[in-house]
Amino acid sequence: MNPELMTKIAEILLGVVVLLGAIIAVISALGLIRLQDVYLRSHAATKSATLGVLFILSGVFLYFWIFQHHFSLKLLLGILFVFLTSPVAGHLNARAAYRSGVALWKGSVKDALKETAQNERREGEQKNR
Amino acid sequence: MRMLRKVWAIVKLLVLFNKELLVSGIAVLIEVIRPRIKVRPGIIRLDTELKTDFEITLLACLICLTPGTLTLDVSRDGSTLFIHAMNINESEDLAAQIKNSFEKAILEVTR
Amino acid sequence: MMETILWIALGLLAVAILGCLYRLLLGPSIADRIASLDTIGILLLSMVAVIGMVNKTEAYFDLILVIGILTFIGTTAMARYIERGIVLESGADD
Repeated sequence: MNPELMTKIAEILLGVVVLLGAIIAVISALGLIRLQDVYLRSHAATKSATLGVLFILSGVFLYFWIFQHHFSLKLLLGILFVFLTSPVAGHLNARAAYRSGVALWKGSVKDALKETAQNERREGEQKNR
Repeated sequence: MRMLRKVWAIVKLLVLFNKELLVSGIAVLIEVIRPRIKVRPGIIRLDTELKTDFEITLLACLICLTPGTLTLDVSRDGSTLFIHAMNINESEDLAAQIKNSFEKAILEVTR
Repeated sequence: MMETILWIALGLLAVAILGCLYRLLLGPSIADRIASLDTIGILLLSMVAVIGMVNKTEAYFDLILVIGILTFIGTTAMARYIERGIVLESGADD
């Protein structure tokens, strides 16, 4: 097989990886619209979207590495950064939502945190007094 | 030799984690595009054996990045994690499942 | 061929950002809005990467880091704000 065709096919494969990431991003945005409460939406927002973005960034990274012969350290750093910060952001946001009293969806099965949260709130009030 | 085993444990943790991310990511996507969403969300508690802050942070981050589970809160003494899960089935014990996979892998890395 | 695929991917990302905007405008609680803002930031970042791939240039890659950092800091600050009502607290007692 001649190398030119190979290059073309490899380029298209990387394009498909990027497209796959974009499709995952669209589906997670759909989840952001359709799901019922904040916590469920956080699942779609911070994680499925991260999966899609990781696909896209790795596709771009591989493209620059293979075809432009440029090992882009900045992009690698970006991938690492998204990977590290997105779970932290999701956790912070969900915890803030719970502490500020956003109710769970009525179809939720159980809530193991309720008692502990109430106890902590009571303790905090006593300390403030 | 000890060093080598540690590196191997780290690699194993990374592979396990990536596999988990892909599999459950697809599961969440299927859940979202289903015409009628039927999820059974809820908050479960996970009593962990991990001791140091580093281990607990690692476990919380790994749980957060796995779609379907989200760490909501950690108790003051760090012995209990509260996890919001997207699908709770009575038949399978989600907490035990997480304990068996992630906690074991983390213990191999840090101890 | 590859560029066509990339343009389609860019269009899909734009649609995803529009979906997030819907949640940002209508979200019943502040936490919803923060989550969708975070998602918009991450999607913008990936759009910049795809544009860099279309133009075959690395010039935009600094933007990726900047957008990532700003998104994370913004989310953290707003989450702390709705949790306690303050962003930075002075004093060592916790």
